[in-house]
Amino acid sequence: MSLHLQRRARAVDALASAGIDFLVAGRQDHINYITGAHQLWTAGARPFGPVCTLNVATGEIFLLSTWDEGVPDDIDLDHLHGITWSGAIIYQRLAATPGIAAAQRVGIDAWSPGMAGLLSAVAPNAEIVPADDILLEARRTKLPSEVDAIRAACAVAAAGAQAALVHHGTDAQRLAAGVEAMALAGSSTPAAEPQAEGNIVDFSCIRSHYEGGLGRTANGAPPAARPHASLIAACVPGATGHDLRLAAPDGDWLVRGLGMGFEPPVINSRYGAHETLEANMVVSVSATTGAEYARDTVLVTESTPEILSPEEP
Amino acid sequence: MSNPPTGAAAELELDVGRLRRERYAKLQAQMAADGLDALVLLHGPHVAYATDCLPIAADATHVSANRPVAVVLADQSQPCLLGGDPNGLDVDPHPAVWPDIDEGAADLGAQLDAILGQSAHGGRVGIDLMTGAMRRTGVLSAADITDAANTMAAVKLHKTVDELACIHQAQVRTSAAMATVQEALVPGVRRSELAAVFLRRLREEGIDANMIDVIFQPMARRMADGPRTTTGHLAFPTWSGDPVYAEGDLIWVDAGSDYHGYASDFGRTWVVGRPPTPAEQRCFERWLAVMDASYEAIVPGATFAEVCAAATAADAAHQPHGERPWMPHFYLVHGVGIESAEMPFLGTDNGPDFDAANTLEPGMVLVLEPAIWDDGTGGYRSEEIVAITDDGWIPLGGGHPYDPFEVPT
Repeated sequence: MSLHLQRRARAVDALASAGIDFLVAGRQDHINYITGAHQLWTAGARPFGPVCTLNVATGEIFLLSTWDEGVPDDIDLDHLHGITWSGAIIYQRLAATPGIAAAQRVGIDAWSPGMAGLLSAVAPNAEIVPADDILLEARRTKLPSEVDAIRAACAVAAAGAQAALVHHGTDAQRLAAGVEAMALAGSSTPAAEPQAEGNIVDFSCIRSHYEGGLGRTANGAPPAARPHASLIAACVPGATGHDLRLAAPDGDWLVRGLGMGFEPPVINSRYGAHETLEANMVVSVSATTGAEYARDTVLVTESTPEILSPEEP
Repeated sequence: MSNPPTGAAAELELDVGRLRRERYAKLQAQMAADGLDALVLLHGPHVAYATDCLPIAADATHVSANRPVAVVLADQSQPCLLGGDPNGLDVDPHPAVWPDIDEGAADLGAQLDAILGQSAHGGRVGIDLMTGAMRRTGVLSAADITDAANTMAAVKLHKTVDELACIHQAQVRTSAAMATVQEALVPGVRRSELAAVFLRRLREEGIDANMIDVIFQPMARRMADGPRTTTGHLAFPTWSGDPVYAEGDLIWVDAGSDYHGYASDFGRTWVVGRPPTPAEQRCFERWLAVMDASYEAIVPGATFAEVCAAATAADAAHQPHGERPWMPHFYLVHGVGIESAEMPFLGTDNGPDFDAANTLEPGMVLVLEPAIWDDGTGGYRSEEIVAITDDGWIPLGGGHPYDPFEVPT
């Protein structure tokens, strides 16, 4: 089964288990997870709107896309809705979507007062509930092909970091060299904002829907002595956020999920003490001690953690 | 026929203090008109409008994870900024929040209760977005919530002089980066190589916020050979992987980047490695005629419908089926500002009644993007930006050549 259909099956199972019979998604990462569609990347988070609907019982999907370029074959042209600028058309389409009128529980991945009113009108019998947590829970552990995609994205980010580290210009010039190298290596879309400040760099990208990234300090310590080494070692199945706090160095640190972009859990000195790591989760692990910063992308395995980002730079 | 317009906007100079003061005063006035006690803003461009804390040009998941939040209270002299970097801003700073996770949303709720005081209990509060975590943790559950979208749409529709200066700068710098890219467009080059040049050059032009994965889309010469569409018309702009361009390929270019939170919109048509054929050049000349007719019709007080009618009439001789000279899933004109596409929209699927009911007003910014298509030949599409003045319009950016197409003398 193709990767996006495996992912969709996970999402459908999770939604069904939560008693949600209809999903209205507006966040691109959730839409990518479910549909596998390659849509144009834009920076920044959009306002909430109904970009994709999923009838949980039938699996029927409608996707906002004027064309089938980048859309997997399992979503036919007659299940694409063209871009619209009309609120009336958005309403008519939603109202005509099979299953929504009778839905009892409609899941949404964000909320605005205007959209809440619209959804109440088209699903008059439904409770409108947030479902972002259900989808993110389903996304938390990664399939083998997802890990491969993350590893490939890490290699692209490493090309950017390397170019910025060896460049001897200003920080702005090093950033320019880094984003140029990343584009040549396979991604013109950043995950986080690239960083080059003094001898510290951090580069990340989204490549074919998946994030990869790493951070380095020029002339920093060898891998085993980097600021986040103790945190990486602590990323084992069953480790809690509290365990990670005990393993963390003095200074800023963050362990957070990574997959189709930034994902939960978020574990730092303030949040996430109750979270528990599982095998096949992928996390970004970063820490700063003194003047040294390091970040890597790490796969939690049944044995020792596997670092997916290249050791060099 | 016209060369790309140039002129007056070059004299616009950004005064950041004035930009902030004038926007904030407009926001306060609109809140009073809308009867709002408070505005709570999470959408990045809205936060920037209220506080000048600029949006980060990163993936949506990163931007939303620990996004800054702006709170504007009626009659308060400055906005509250939760998170973000308050250095150098005229804001009341508050700790960062993580509204996408339940613990962070609970923190946000507590901060909002403290900032809003009595307004959190029955006050009229406009908000533009809530995360699932905010819904789960009951953020602002005791307030009288309304959508902030209308308030924001009203204030951003007419630009201040500093907003025009920002759009002008965004467009000038994006155009400068694209001039280098066009030199790199030779047979055998890949899309990723052009993107690399563009992203480097943008930063060299002082822009670190690229807002859309830059588009160099090779166009099939016949619609039937391109992607299938819901409109039966063109597919543009699509995701297109990493094609290698060959001599004679027809490339439609589209890019947008931010200068001080304001978007550029660069559109051009290029041909790889050779001059345009006479048939391709004719498409360009039809496009110029549509632009000239549109420029002529753009005056304060004109209805959207009048501009659309003028543009349509200019190409009517080439349209046996009465089609309009723009892509049916888009528009003849869209606005630009803190969003890459915002009101005014002319010629959309909002329909003729909408276009007849709305008029151009001073301070509106228009991106003209007609598109000409001659099936079998291909087509021509470029974009130009103008700002409506009291008695006409001025170009923003502007002057970027139409090479390799030639403007007839």
